[in-house]
Amino acid sequence: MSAEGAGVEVRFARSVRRWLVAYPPRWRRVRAGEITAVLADLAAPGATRLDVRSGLGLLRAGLATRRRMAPPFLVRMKYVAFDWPLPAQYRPWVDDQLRSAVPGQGLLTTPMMVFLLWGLPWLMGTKPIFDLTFLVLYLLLLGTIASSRGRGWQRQAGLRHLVPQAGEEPVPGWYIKGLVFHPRLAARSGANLAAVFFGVPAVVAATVLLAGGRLLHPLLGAFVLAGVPFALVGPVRWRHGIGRLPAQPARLVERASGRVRRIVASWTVVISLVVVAAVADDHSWIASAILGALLPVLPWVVAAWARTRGAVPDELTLVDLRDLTVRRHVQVDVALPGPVLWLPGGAMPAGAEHAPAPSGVAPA
Amino acid sequence: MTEQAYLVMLSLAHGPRHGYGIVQEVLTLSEGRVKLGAGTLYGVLDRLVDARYVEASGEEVVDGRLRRYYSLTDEGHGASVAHTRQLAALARTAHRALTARPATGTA
Repeated sequence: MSAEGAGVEVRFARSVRRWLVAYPPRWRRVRAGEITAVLADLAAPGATRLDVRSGLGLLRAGLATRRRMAPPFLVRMKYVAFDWPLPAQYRPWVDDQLRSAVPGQGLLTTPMMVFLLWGLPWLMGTKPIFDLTFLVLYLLLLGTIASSRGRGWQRQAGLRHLVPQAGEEPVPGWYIKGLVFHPRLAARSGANLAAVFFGVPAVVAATVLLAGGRLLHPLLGAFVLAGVPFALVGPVRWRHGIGRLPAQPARLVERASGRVRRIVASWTVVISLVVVAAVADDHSWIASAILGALLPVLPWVVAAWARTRGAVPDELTLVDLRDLTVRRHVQVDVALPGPVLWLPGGAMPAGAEHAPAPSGVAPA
Repeated sequence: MTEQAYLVMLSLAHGPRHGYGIVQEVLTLSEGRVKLGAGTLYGVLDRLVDARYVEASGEEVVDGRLRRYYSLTDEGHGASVAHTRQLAALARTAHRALTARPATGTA
């Protein structure tokens, strides 16, 4: 049962949910409703948030629970450092890692690389390979990469680490290799993100180059012009194509989640900072190169953003706009192989590798 | 066995209780000295369940709030009895040691 379903004041339940973040996801799935009810019983009548003392107690207990439920150190390292699949008894822990906002693997590579680039030279008495500005940018970049693992990565990692390996029998209540929907970003949501991702660093790059007294290279104008035809052709083809979208039974159209928005924002900030640092460090060619990479796409992105301001079908995705521009028709997505939960007592999901011939698409 | 774990097991001696019920019973058993927070309670319950001293024994929704009940297993009952004997033996030993203490006085 979810915390909100526990008959507890909604704001109080939300506050508890935030404090429960230190617990492993699988613990929260089973216990969140129950512990929320106990905390509501213990709290003063009418409380709308958990008191800090109790919250800190939850954080401490959550970390202890996380430690207790983790595999032994060496087993953990096999997954974290080498991405090796672990034996079946540790897969629930791996499942937790794959669901975490920042997977442990990314966190490990960061300190390792910092040590190699910065710590080791310092220990050896030589100068670090790169200066502090580089280190900060590098950390930001690695943190962004580590947390940028989206659904595609989760699906692939799930196939590698969660489903039974060759020779193992599938178990009800756990994952099995099956077919999952093909996730796509809704057109309006996707166009908004694309406008931010391509627009902000481009504006920052142009601004710092001009402010630094560096003339924009004439070649950049050619890059913009290269993208203009797509921005002109796109709206014409969308006018005809959007009303004739094919059925997409294997597709899941989603608006960008908070996680996706944070990933795009992180990349936007990191690229913009790299541009600023490069110009400040007299490497304006880096800023020009980044600007050159963004400019050919920017006109089309602006056109797509402008089109999605108006009424568009809910099933329209950003990929459809791209396909209509480039190919004149929309491609029909196919279901993707991925980990599918085999519910206890239920039939084996359609499309599962151990099942008879697939009869359809199994929702993830 | 920690004092908190022992008290949680004692609180279940008379039958199943839910989380809040355990907190209240532990408070009573310890004469107001031990007030378990939710984080501590569920840490103790997790460990006792792992050790098979305690098991979940059903759940219900009361006033829209989920109540999961916990009960002592036979193994848990045996461990509680054994720990109580140890404590009683320790108390007797402590009593003897303290009463045998020579009187100290000033001349």
